[in-house]
Amino acid sequence: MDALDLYMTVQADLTGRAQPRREVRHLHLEAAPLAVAVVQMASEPFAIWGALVGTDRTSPTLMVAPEPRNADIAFLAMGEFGKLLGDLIDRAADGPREHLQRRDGSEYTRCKTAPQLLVTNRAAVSLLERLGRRMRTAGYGGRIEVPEHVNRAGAHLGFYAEMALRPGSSLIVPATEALKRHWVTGQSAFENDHLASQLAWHDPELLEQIDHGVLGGMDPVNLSGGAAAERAETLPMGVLTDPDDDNGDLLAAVMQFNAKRDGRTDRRTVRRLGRGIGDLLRERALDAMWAALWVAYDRLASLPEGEHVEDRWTSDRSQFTKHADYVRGGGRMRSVDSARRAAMLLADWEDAQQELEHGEFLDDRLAQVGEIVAGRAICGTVTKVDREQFDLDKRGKPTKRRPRIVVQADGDFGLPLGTKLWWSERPSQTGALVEDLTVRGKRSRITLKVVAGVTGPLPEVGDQVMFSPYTREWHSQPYLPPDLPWTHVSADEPTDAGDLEEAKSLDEVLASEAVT
Amino acid sequence: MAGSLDQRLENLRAGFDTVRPNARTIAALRDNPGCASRRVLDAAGIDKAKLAERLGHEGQEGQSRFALQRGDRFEKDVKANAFAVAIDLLRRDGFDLDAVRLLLLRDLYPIDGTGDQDVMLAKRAEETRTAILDMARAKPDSYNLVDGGALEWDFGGAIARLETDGIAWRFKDQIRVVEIKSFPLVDGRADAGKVGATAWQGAVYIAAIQDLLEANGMSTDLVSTELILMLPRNTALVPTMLKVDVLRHVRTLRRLLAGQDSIDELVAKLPAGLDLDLDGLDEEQAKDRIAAVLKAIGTSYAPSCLESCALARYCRARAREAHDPRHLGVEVRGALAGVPTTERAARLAEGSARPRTEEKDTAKLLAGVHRVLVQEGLV
Repeated sequence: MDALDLYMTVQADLTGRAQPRREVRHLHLEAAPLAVAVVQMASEPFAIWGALVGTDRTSPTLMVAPEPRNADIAFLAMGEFGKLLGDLIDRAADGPREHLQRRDGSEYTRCKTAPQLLVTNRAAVSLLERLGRRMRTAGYGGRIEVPEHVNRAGAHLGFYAEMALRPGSSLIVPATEALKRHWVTGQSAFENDHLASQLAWHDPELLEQIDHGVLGGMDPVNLSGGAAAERAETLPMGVLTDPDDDNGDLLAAVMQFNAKRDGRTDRRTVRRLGRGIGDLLRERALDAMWAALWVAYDRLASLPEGEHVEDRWTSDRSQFTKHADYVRGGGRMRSVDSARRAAMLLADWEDAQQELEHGEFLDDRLAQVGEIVAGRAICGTVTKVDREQFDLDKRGKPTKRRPRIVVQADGDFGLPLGTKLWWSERPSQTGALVEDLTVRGKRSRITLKVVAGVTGPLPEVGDQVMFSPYTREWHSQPYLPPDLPWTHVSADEPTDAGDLEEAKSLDEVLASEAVT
Repeated sequence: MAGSLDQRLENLRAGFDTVRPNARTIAALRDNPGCASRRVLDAAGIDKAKLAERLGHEGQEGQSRFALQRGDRFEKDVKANAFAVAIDLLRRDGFDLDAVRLLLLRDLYPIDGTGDQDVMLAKRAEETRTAILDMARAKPDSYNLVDGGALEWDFGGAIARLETDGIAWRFKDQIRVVEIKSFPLVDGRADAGKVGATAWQGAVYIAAIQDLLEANGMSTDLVSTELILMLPRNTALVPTMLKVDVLRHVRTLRRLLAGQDSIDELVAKLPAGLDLDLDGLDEEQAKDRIAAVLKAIGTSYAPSCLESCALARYCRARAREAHDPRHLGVEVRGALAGVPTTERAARLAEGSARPRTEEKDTAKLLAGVHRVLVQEGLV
């Protein structure tokens, strides 16, 4: 565990308030992200039951599949959601682009904007992924018919769910995770997966904005984060409604809806008869989730943006452009990655992880603390700079200039001699090897041999400096053999079976069951 | 203390509400093997949710009927026409099956609140025992599939009867345990957490069958440790199967149980006269009494308890009050190894307390952070 996180967690537990683990924001925030508060029915993990969706916090669009276990009704809501998402993506893809050139001279473009999704937590990302899986393959066998934009939106959701795994990506922001990256609370990671509960540690007063009355009249000022979180936990913040609501009003409303629609699944009937269920879902879950999303957004927006965030958002826009062009050109997504794609993806994520760590470290003094304490970065005072040092050739003649810098620092360092470190003032230019390290009591004396940027500026005696392993280097693509080795060839290539699965609908059976 | 263990557990319960433990209850052991209270309460069949309610920390215990409907519907599909779908899946996977002879204990002895539930469960347990032993001996014409079985589980000296979800099925050469679950297997992958939880439940069933075989002088190899899961495939409810080897889980369960104090020793920690008899006590007195029982036996809170134990919220509140690092999660607790409270951790960080030997490493780390934060003007 990172030493800073540990320290701050202790402070959070004692003060009853969240503590910062970062000074600046390490993710990009769009001015108007597409916020999605969504719940599923406990019996149907592959459909929207209800969702509030929109880019304007004051006027979300409500989408409801009052009986999501019926495929026709489920696809009405999924189609509506798919349309909204697809339009947003088309607008970005058809909008202005940057024209760029590759090293080999070929040209390519990058969209200037990309839609950003804001959801409550990882469970919501998983639900979107499941919806995408169903929407992508729906209708391929002809058992049900769905408009093409549904298939395309399915591919978009698959893309966004995948980008949730790419380190440093801001294309989809699960609010709980984004908050966790910037603050620590006095509760466990498991409890922090509940958005309102995590926000309770930031300020119990925020809960009043999420659900008026959830504090039950307790004074938020004197309330500890833990006590406020306990109240907040009563609000559904994942993708499921409260089981007690399910067994009470919601079950009754669904039964009534099914009785009244009498087998009909047309849009008008569903909309007219399903209104009550939509209202109930809002009142019992979606309204609070929607409010919590924007409270979290405001918390994140209150931090100034880190310098390297822009670079990562550019990379996000590139990924988005590639995806949008592929899907709009008729490309389909495989449900299971080929061995080749999986290898490429992992390599890309590893690079992205390095880039993120580099950026966070260089942008953020708090991110540096843990590294310094762990002895992975040197932070101290320059006591000597000698530019007139050279490597010698066999005959003892000086060849390359190799200046030496001596740094005095507190603490000890677990750096093997020969480790390459970068000056944090010029992290991509000035690099040095650890040549000598002596520890005297609580202080260390480190001699660095400058091997990169030797003619450029160097620190001066008396300067406070930091040298760390963080830099930006070019990472190669992995070597992949032209033919897959037999270990990576699957005997039965997976097939996309969508239509067969739609052959089963639950509602006929369940609708007839009596309410107890 | 006098009397048999059962008698002493009965004394502790003192008429408090009971609840039947299930395979999930036992599998929860692996989440937090250190909690003595949970083991004793489970062994005594005490309703922890009711205790939590009396303590003023009731949690959400209910299960959504929508979720139950999905499970029921899927199970019905798999079991329809004398397990036709299940047999088909197994045959396609290469299993050589005899014609099934079903023992459907759920139908024979329903536990639905109508009859005496304990009697029903006892009957089920008896039938399960006979059927599994016959199966193991490959007695001709004996049942080769038991659904709704009840098994006996040794909680460390206290025997409890459990209703199982799993199915015991004799194939040609071995007894197999089959669990039917309604979480999906999408493109060959299922939720790791859910598969894990099911694996633990299946392991409880398999371990109990092993015990039964061993007690009757038969080889434990007669039951396979490869659990068979029947799950919906992809986005609808078309069944498919997944095999999971739970040998590791069975061993871990046994090791966890063997490493524990016996229930006998734990109950012996209770002072004479301390039990859960709450008759005539007011709210506060009842709370105090329950708290005293839990304290005497001992608890060990971890955030994962929130998922599996009704008393978790009570234990969390106490851990928070005491600034016990346990409530911050295993990672923090591990990192603060040796430091009993966060208050002490803060004092070590500021250098206002001298670290004991076991605290030195942690203290150095925390003091390091404090020093750098001060140096950089961040606090």
